[in-house]
Amino acid sequence: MNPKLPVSCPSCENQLTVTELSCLECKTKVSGNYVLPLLLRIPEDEQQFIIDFFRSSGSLKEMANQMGKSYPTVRNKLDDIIEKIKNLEQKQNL
Amino acid sequence: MKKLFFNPFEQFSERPLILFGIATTILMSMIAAFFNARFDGVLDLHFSRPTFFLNTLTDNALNICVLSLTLFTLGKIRNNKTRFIDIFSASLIARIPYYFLPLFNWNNIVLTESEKLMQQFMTLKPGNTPSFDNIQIMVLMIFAGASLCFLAWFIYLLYQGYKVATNAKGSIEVVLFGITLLIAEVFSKIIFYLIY
Repeated sequence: MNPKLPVSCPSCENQLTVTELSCLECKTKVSGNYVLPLLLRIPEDEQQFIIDFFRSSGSLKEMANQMGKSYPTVRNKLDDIIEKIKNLEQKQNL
Repeated sequence: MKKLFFNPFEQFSERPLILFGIATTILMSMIAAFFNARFDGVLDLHFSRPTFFLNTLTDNALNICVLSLTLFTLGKIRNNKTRFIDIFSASLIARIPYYFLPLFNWNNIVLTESEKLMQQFMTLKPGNTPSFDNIQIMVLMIFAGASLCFLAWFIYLLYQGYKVATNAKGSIEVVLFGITLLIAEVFSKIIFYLIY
């Protein structure tokens, strides 16, 4: 099982940051305070949607066929993700 | 299955929806003519005789056009990405439940009973109370109940189609949709008045 990456604090719901990265081979550890990239801060199904969109060369029609959904349904999902990313960007710039 | 009857717009693309919608509109217009029904407004259904296939087909075509154009105008204002084809397919499919109402006029029963009711009121002397027979009340009550259910189904389907086409969210969109539906009804009544 792949554990889900937590993006917000389970206690206060604030944005989590990365404080430690480690190499599985040599066990080197890097400490710091790294903000999670925008795309990692959206839910997993939306990340998968973006990957699928990229794989289908940006063709919503092809995606709609693959997903068994109508074209406007897929376009709406993309619009919602774009809106979410814009909001995250705005929050980040504040 | 639930989605098929209450929100097919999420799943099916515009082509099968439009083909199915046009075929059903033509077929049900034939049936409506057989049952003497006229769809003389976006939200209207009246029984009158004689009714011909060309009348019912023109009624439905006009209603679909008025509904599509008014909702598309609203959709374009609210979301610039709205496509006419999605609103048109929603208008075509959403009206299908309404096409089943003429079947209640089997053997002209609804028409006869409502004409009888009108006659009773026309000939009623002031101060007298009209007397209804049980069959008359039953026929008209069943038809009224069914009309409300099918009207609710039609409006629900239309809103789902509009929602998918425009990515509408929130209560403001529901209110705007309701107002636009009433505007479409007024437009269609004016057009029918000018034509007939």
